[in-house]
Amino acid sequence: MITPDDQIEPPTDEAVDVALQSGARGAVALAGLSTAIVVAIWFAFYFLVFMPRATTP
Amino acid sequence: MMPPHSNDLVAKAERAERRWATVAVVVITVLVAAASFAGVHQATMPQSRVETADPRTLHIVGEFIESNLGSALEPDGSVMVRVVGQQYAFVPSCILVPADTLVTIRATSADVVHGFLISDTNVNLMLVPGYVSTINTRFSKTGDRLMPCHEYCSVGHEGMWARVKVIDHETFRRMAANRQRLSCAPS
Amino acid sequence: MPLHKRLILCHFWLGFAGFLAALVLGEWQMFIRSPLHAWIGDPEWYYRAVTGHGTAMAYVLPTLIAMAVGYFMTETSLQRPLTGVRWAWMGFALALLGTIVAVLPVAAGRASVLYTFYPPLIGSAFYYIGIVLVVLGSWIWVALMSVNLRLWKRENPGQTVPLPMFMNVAGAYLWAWTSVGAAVELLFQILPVALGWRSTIDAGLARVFFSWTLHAIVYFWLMPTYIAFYTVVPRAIGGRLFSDPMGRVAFALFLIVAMPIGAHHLFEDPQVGGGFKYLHSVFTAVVVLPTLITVFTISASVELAGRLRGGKGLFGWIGALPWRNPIMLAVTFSFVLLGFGGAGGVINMSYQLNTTVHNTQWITGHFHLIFAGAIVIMYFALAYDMWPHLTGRALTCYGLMRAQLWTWFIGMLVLTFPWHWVGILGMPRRMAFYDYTDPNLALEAIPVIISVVGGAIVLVSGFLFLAVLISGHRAVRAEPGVYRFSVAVHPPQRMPAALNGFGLWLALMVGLTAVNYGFPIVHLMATPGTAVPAQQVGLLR
Repeated sequence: MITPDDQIEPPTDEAVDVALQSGARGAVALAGLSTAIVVAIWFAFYFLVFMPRATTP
Repeated sequence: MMPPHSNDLVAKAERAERRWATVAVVVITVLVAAASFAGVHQATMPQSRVETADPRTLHIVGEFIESNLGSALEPDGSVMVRVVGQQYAFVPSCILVPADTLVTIRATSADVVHGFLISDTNVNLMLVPGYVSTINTRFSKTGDRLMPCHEYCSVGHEGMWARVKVIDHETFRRMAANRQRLSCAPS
Repeated sequence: MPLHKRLILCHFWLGFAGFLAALVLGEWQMFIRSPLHAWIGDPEWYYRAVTGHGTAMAYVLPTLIAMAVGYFMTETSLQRPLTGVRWAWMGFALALLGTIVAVLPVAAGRASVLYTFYPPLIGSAFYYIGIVLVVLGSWIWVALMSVNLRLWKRENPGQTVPLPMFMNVAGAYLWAWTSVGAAVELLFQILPVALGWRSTIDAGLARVFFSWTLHAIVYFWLMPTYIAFYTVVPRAIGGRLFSDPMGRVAFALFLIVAMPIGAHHLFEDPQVGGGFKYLHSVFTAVVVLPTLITVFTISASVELAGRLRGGKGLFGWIGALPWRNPIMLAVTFSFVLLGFGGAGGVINMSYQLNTTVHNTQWITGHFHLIFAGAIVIMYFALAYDMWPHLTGRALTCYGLMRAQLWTWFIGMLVLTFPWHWVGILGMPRRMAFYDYTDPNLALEAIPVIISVVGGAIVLVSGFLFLAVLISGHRAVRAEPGVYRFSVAVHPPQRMPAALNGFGLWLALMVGLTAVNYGFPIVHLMATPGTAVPAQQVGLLR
């Protein structure tokens, strides 16, 4: 196991409960933002690359 | 013995997971819907039916004999292009097509798997020996395009480049009056 | 602490040896076809190198790593010695023998068919036999994973299967089923021709069988990475896993939907109809779901670790994370690379959009970003984490580990971003030479050179990785203690049977395969006149 400079001890249940008070807001924000970027990349490709070359036969 | 976690936190965590799963399903549905829309409106996919062709006799019988290759003006005003891919060239090596016209490309391979794309377009097709590939497209701009082989076909693959020349419809029609099959390959 | 350390180390070293050799080949390939080097004159060398690189990176590295991680997790998560050690060594011997038997004809130029085989091109029979041997070795591993779990369940009736083993066995079953496609193609189509018993082959059918394997194999490659996300990372950074059941749900979904979506590699092919292509495209979208679940669950677990260290606010917990810990770096880099690679992936899967990029360098850039980037970087992390338990020696060169991970990350970005760009410019795949003086290709020159620079950074990183592993063998002896896995935030008391076993998921997996692949395969087999003459490569000149 990797235990570099700062020794990492497993947290106690009490500490975990305290840390969970804010729910998963940070994760929702981070995962949400990342997913939004991925979807934006998809639409950017659609409008900037695919559509200019597309024709309706 | 662990102290019991407050039911509050358990419920909170499960709610967050469930809400995220809903977001995920919505995102996926949006992408599938957008892709389906593109599929219906800008379709350049190969055919729905599976057609076969014998690479051993392509040059002797059937629609891919050499005198039938190239671009043909059809009675309904559309253009049918027949191409054969082989190690290591496309025949014809320069494909002549009119702009603003329905163009159907029918192609097959005489030996191994090839494929081509036409630059600046979404035309992209695999040529599998034994099968005929068909694609419908329309070229909106005149000019020259590159048509490289993009599937590894053994050691000459890097030299397998064809060209596509898009000319205006009138010029194409006049040329088609004099010859059954057109191409811009050097003769 | 695993008991059979030498067994696991042998698997790791075979995998990483193939990896390093292939890495050198890879950078040579990038260099040789770039504007930085003149035309090499004989293109066969290039295609030979591509075959060797692809074979090692696709068939040797990830298989051996999955086996190593699998044996490690069996012993440490089930806390019992591996049953069937003699079989495990036989599996390793098959993998080793197979690697040698496959690589020799490639090196001799007798099998330049690329790792995707490309019938009707046919190479030396030994190439294919070698790969079959590697796969057989891995099937022994699959059987051992299954047997060991079954024995543990008998010894621990009614207990919840430890999460690492649940995921490990799911990955093993996924591999077993997905390898069937390529196995059928090799055993029933290619080898009969390579051995001279037949002279024709249905290239279209072969491509369909290969596509069966081709997509799900990348999920097999991904399993150790995701297992690390769930069962190693939260512990390593001092946190807890946000949800154990969601991890099981994600892997159950992978088991069902990772496999029957391979036709998205055949969107432009003539031997599959439009209806089935659309069906595979939709199911490919469904397989995005377990990854999105994973992204959230792991983000929440990492957030927890940050808040435990005092982080506050919507994003403030990010700063509080243990950034000097190599595992923290690895998971972050992996997620960033996964995001960009995933964006490319959802573009590729979107049926019509695929026609813009199929068989361009975009595709090559994409899978290097997601596999060599997001997935392999966690192979490094797993090796670093497990090494002290395998060598019985300390692994404390954290600075070197961080440098290795940083260079891999930066190198991957510099390598793959321009690679995607030249794909958009229309640069076709797998050519030994490009005439950059042609005005149509001139714009591709500079991005290609940038990619070469990225590849060089990646190569340096590969050697740093080797240095870390070797130093681990020569360090002072140190007792690493018990190997611990992540603990869930709310350790589940009882697990529903569906998340404690595989019967339901395997049935769905096989059923969905029948729906998505049954008709296309049967239709092609029943269609007459599709077999074409095979072409031997590598004839003596």
